[in-house]
Amino acid sequence: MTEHIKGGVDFTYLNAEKFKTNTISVFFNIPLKKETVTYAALLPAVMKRGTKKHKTMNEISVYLDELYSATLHAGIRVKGDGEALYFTIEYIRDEFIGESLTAKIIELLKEFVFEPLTDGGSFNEDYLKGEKQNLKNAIEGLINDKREYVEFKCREAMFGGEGYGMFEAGRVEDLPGITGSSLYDFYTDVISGAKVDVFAGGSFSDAALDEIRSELCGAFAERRAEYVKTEIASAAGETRRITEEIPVVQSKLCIGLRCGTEPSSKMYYALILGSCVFGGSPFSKLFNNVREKLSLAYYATSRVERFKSTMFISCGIETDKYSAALNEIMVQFEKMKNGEIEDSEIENSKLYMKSRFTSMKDSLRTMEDYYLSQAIMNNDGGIDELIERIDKVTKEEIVEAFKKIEPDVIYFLKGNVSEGGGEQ
Amino acid sequence: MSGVQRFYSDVLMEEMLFATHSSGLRVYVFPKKGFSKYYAIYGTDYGSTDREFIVPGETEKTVVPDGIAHFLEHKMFEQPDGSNAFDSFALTGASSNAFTSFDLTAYLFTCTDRFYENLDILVDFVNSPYFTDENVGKEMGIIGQEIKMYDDDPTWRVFFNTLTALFHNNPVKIDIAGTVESIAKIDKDILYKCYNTFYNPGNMILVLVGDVDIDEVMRRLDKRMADVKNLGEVNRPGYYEPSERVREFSEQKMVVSQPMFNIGFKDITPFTGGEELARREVCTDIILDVLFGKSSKLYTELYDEGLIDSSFSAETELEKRYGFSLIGGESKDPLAVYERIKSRISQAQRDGIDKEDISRTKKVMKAAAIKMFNYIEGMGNSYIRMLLKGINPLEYNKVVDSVTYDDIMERLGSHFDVDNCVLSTVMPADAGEAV
Repeated sequence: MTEHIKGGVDFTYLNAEKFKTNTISVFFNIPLKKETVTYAALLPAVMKRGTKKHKTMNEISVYLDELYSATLHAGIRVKGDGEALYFTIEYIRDEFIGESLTAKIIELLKEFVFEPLTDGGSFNEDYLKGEKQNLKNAIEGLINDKREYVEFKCREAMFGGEGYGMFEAGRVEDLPGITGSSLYDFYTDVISGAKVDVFAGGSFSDAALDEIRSELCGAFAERRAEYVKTEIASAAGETRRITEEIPVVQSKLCIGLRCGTEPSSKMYYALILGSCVFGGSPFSKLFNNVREKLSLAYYATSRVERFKSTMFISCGIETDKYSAALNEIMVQFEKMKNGEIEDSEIENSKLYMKSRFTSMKDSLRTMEDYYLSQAIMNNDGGIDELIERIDKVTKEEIVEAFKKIEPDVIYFLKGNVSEGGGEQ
Repeated sequence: MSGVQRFYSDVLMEEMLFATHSSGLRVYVFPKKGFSKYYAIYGTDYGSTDREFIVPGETEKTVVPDGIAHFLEHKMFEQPDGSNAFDSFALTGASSNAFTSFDLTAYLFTCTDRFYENLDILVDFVNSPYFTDENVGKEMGIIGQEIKMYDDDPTWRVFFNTLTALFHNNPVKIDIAGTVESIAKIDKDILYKCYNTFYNPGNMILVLVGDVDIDEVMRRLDKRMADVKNLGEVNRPGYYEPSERVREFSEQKMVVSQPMFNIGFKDITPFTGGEELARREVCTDIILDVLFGKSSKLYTELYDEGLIDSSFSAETELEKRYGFSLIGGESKDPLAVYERIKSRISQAQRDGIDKEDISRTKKVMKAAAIKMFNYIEGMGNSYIRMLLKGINPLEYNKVVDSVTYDDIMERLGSHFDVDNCVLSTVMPADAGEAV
């Protein structure tokens, strides 16, 4: 599936006949670092604004419409202590429009990647200024979604604003110092130095695949580049409690835990199956007890982040139910560690996860993301292998995985408004 | 099996099967070969806007507390034996959920295996209500937290404040989940009354997406729907809705980083369904895309001036018993955007719309309809709404082709009344002054 094209450049073809569309994507893998996090967030936004051939957003948009409404996505995805900058174009397959678009799509992707609108060695100042403002709004806009906000604040408290602990949208304080030419220097470093992955998903002829290999993959210079290694989170030490008060109606509780499990080890599968039993389904311990039995919350969930090996437990509650909710969550957590788990809970969770993972095959973007993550972890297992490994997990392994988990930060976003909103 | 109608589109290479079960239930199947997933969605033509109705067999109008359709949806998962439907789906590996909107309550599952078994579970649990004083009381706390979560959600607030500014009496202006006070009035008797009125097969629809055999579905339904009574269409008394807006401006302060806004237009044309509604929808979508879409001149201008960002969008929601269009996003100056939008509309009403823009937009809309067939759940969610409105999803692109320049200009004149639109904003609160 994955072919090594040249030093630092790989190509993966995900063949699937059932879709109406194809996707072609380029990923640049770089470390998530304080010095560059804001640059990385800003770069795709500025590059999307114009190319040498299509100079304005309007020209780009009209051209995409003409290509039967092809869609361009560009941005960043966090991969543990690394991040992937991406450009993806999704377009309708020939059969449905009676015209082949692949060559034009390759051309357009190359235009975005290699020929952004610049004045010599500098990005267009107007575009830069506009996108700086948009990025500032996006960073400050984290507060708009309180659940996302508390989960990030918890993550930041755990990792001290380094690597995975940073907000991937960047830092407002970096923005004034970024100039058209400093962003261009960053761009040059990424294009010539980052580990590159090209993905094609859908149904392509051999000739079209060759064209992607030679025209798109071939356009990158050979490089000595590797994926970013993520150090897993383990040994929390003392649990820290943080309370932040804000004027909202519903309080939010987020508990960040360190799992200490290598993402490609056997124990990883026990960890995610255990998290499903604990708080990953509508028949989980958290759902049945925090929500159904005690009526404390509408949502009460746990999820595992694979690269860094962290778990986040999250719920929205009445301010005065903080202790009740926290106690119940910890009671259920202790049950996991003590092996107070019914066989049926494990069996049902296995079926649930099997269904979830099988469904990944129905989305090109989900498959692409999964196989990119696998590549970064140097793991060549496919979705079927993932399902098999989940199926083999035993209760003893779940208990072993959970015994390694340590609560690190309990973050309480304390609402101090008693009644619901309304207009003024 | 007889009674199954087949629809096939050469252009889309997609098929739709339709049959009415003897119980009165309408069943639609979209066969998707090659996909791993199956999706089933079982809906009733009933939502938050159904606050007044006549119970079959009665003559007097019944008025129910706000939020009851949503409350009922939560309670349907509870089973007579003390378990809940999630436990049954847990045994087969399916993921189940439900939602309540203005005019639809739907129960659904996705699975990759044991589809017909899951279908049995779905049909059984929706057909067997079990409400007690105790289980109704327990739900108050959970839904109370759901309501509060939405109270803190600025996009939800800016949306509902738009509707309350647009509509005087149309119940679409009432929050879907109701309020903590309104749901306190709900008891098991009134839940049964709503259930018995709206959850009858003549008022319901089943949409299935995946590699499904409709004959097998009908056989399963024969067994499970044998005792279910078909009460036919529900009598919903009308109400008077003036064509004027309630007020032009609404503002709420919340913890947000920058102002959010919705500009709303009220649909004042008589309610309809079927192709007429589809044409109205297509015309409205074309207008919104030509004037305010990403490829429009105004979008680029506003974006370049820093008045909007990529959150800016425009959409219309035209249903059988309500209709509105919204243009919204985040902006440092919502009032300036509002003025620019209004003046762009006036200009288009005066000077007309570029015909090339219309044909480009039609191409985009048709492409979107093709792409929809990539998404198993998206198909179910979108098609159940279309089918309830009497629109055939396989025919949609024909409607797009058939609307004329005059149709579009007529709609532009009648729906987009710049003297009757509203601006709702959520403004950033200083510490301590929210809500």
